[in-house]
Amino acid sequence: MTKLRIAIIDDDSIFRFIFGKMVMKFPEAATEVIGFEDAVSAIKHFQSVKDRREDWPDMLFVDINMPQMTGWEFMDEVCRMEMDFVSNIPVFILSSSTSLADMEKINEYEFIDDYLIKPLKKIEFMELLREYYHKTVGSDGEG
Amino acid sequence: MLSDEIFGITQNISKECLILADFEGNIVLANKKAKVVLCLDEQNYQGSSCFELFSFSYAEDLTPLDRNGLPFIATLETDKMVEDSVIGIEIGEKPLIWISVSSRMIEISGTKYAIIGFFDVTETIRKSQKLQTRKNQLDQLLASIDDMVFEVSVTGEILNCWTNDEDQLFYDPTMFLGKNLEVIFPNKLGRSFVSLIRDSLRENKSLSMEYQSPLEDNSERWYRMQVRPVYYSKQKAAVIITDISNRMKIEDEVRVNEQKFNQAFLHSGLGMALVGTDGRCIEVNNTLTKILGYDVSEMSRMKCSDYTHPDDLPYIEENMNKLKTLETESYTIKKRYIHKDGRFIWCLQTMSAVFDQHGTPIFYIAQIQDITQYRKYVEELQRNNRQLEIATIDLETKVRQLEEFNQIVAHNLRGPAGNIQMLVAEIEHADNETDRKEYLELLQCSSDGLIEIMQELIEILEVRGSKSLPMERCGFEQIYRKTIQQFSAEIHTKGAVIEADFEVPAISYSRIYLESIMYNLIGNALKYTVPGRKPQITIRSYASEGKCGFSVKDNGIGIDLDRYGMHVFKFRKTFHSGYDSKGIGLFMTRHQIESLGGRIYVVSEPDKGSTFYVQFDK
Repeated sequence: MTKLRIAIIDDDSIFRFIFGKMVMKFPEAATEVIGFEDAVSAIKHFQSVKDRREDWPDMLFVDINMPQMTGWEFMDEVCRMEMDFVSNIPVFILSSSTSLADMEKINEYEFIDDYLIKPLKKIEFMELLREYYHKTVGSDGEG
Repeated sequence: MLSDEIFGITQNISKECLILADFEGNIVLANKKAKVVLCLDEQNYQGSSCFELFSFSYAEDLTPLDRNGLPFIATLETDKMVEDSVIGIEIGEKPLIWISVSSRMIEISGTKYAIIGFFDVTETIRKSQKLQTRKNQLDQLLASIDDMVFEVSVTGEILNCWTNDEDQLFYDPTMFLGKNLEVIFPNKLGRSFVSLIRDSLRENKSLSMEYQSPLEDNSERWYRMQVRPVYYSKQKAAVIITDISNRMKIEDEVRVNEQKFNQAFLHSGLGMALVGTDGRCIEVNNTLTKILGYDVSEMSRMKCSDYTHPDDLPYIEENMNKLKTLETESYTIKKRYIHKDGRFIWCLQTMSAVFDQHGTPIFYIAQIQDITQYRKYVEELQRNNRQLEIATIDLETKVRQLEEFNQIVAHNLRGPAGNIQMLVAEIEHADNETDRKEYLELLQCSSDGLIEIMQELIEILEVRGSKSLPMERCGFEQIYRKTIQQFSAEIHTKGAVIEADFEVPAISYSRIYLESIMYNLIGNALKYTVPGRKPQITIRSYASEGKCGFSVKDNGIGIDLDRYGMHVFKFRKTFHSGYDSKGIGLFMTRHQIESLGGRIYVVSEPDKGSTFYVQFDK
C-alpha cells in the first residue's frame, strides 16, 4: 500500500512541524508529509512532477498569509500553469483569519474543497483526513 | 281824404314801410317802400290781404307764425296798439327778412283803419343773433373749463357763474348768485376770499390762495382760488376755483416718499452717497463718513479718483459706462477706498442711477459697505479650512494605519498563538518523553516569537503615538558617519563604495528616528547586493519643494515594483528569499517618517538597483 502523501505549504516552520506530527498520527493509513516553506518552491516542485502521477501529492494544504507569494497567488499560478492534478485531489486553504471575505474566496476556485482555520483541533483534523481519505480511496478504487 | 301827397312826404322822410288797412286787413294804401318790400304791384295792390302777404312769418326763434301770431291782428281785432314787434317774413322768392312791426288804429271820417308800419331790422337782428351765438360760445367755453369760474364784484358779490359740472358747486347757483361771499362762507374763509378779491382789484394783478374745503363731508378736498381783475374793470374780478385735491394728494405722496428716502438715506446702516454727474458727491450720510473719514463738504470737493485705489479705477469706469448706457440697472463691485488717514479699505459698492424723463442720468446713488471684517472672516475661514484639511489627512492616515495595525495583529499574532495552542494539546497527548521535550522546545520558541512580535508592534505603536518626541537639530553628516561605523565590517567585506553629499546639512527631527531611518536604508542597500557586483551606494540630502529631501541609491538587486509595488513598506513583507530579513525594517522606517509628516517612496528596477526617496515635512 502506498503512503498517503500530504503536502503543506506554510512559511511558519513550527506550524509545519506540528502539522507533520499530527498527520503522522493518522490511524487509517501510513502517511508521508512534504512541506514547503514558500509557494514559489512549491510551484517549482509541482511543475517538475506535473506529468508523473505517482509523484503527485494526495492532499494539499496551503496557507494564505505568506510573504513572497500568498496562498491566493499560488492558486492563481496553479490555474495559469494548468496544473490539473489539483482538480483530482482535495485542496485546502489554511488561515488564522476568520474573515468572511477570505472564506468566500474559495468559491472562486473550483478545486478548493474547504477552508480551515488555525489553530487546528486534532480531533477535527483527524475527522477531515478520514473523510477525504475514504473519498480518495473510494474514487481511486485503491485499497 | 288822405292823399298821396301825405304819403309822398312820409315815404321820403321815413324809412318805414307804411300800410293803411281796413278792419279786414286788406290794404287800402301802401307807401312806396311797403310796395317794394312786400312786392306789391304798383298799380293794383289795393285790396291785397295782409294776412296773405304775411303768410310766411316766423317768430324770433324761427317758429312759423299763424294768423293769430301776426302782430297787427291785435290792432285789427281789438284796437290795441302794437309797437316794435319783430317778426321774420318771407315774401315771394326773397330770402327771409326781419321786420319790426308797429300798428295802431285810426279813425278817418268815421271809418276805422289800421296803420301798420314796419321796417327792416334784418341787419340788427343778425348782429344781435351773432352776438348771442358768440355769447353762447363763450359761455360754453367758460363752462367747459374744469375749473369753476365766477364773476365777482369788488365787494364780494357773486355776479355770475360758469361750470361744466354743477355737482362741483357747493350750493345750487340760485342760492349764491347775487349773494356776498362773506355771507355764503361766514367765517375766516369768507373774509379771506373777499380781501383777496379786493387786493387783486386794487393792485390790478392776479392773486391766488389755497384752502381746504369748508364742508365737513368734503374735507379732504383742496381748492385753489385765483382772482384776476376783469379787463379794465376795477369793479369786477374773475374768480377761478380749481380742485387741487389730486395735486395735493400727489404732493403729499411725494413728500412722504421724499421723507422715506431721506430717512432711509440718513439712517442707513450702509454708507450712502448721492453723486452728481460730474462725479462729485452731493450728499453723504453719517455712516459713510464713519467708514471713509471724510464729511460731505470734503467729499463734494473730491473726485472719485481721489478716494479710490488707482488699480480699481478702470474697473469702476467700465461699470459706470454700463450704467449710463442702461446696459445694467445697477452694479456691485468690490473696490478699495482710501480712508482720510491714508489706508485702504475694502468695500462692497453698489451703484444705481436716477434718470430724468428723457433717460439722461441726473444723479447716482452709491451704497457702500465696509467688508474689511468680512474679508477677515473669510481669511480666517479659509485658514481654518486648510487646517481642517490637514487634520483630515492626518486622521485619514491614522485611520489607515490603525486598519493596517488591526490586520497585522490578526495575522501576525494569531500565528504563534495558534501554534502554542496546538503544541499544548500535543504535549498533553505526547506518547513519549522525547516527543514531549521536542514539543516543549517548540513551545518555548513559539512563545518567544509571540513576545517578539508583540514587542515590535508596541514599538510601532510608540512610533505612531509620537506627539511629544524631542526634536533637535540633527546633522546628516554626523549621523551618517555613525551609521557607516556600525556597518564597517560589511562594507569592508563587500568592498562597498559609499558616497555622501549633504546639500542640506541638517534638519530638526527626532534624533533616534533619523538614526534609525538612515541605519535601515543604508543597511538594506548593503544587504540586497548582487553577488559579484561591487556595491555602489550614494546618499544625498537636498532641498525639494521648499522642504528637505533625502535619498539612498544602490546598484543592488532591485525590487520588481510591478509585482510588489504595493507591499514594499508593509509589515513583514519580503520580496527576496535567501536574504536575512524579517521585513519589518521598511515598515518601521515608513512610520518613523510618516508620523512626522513626511513620506517615503522607492524607484527601482530588478537587477539595476533601487533608490529610496524620503521627503521630510520641513
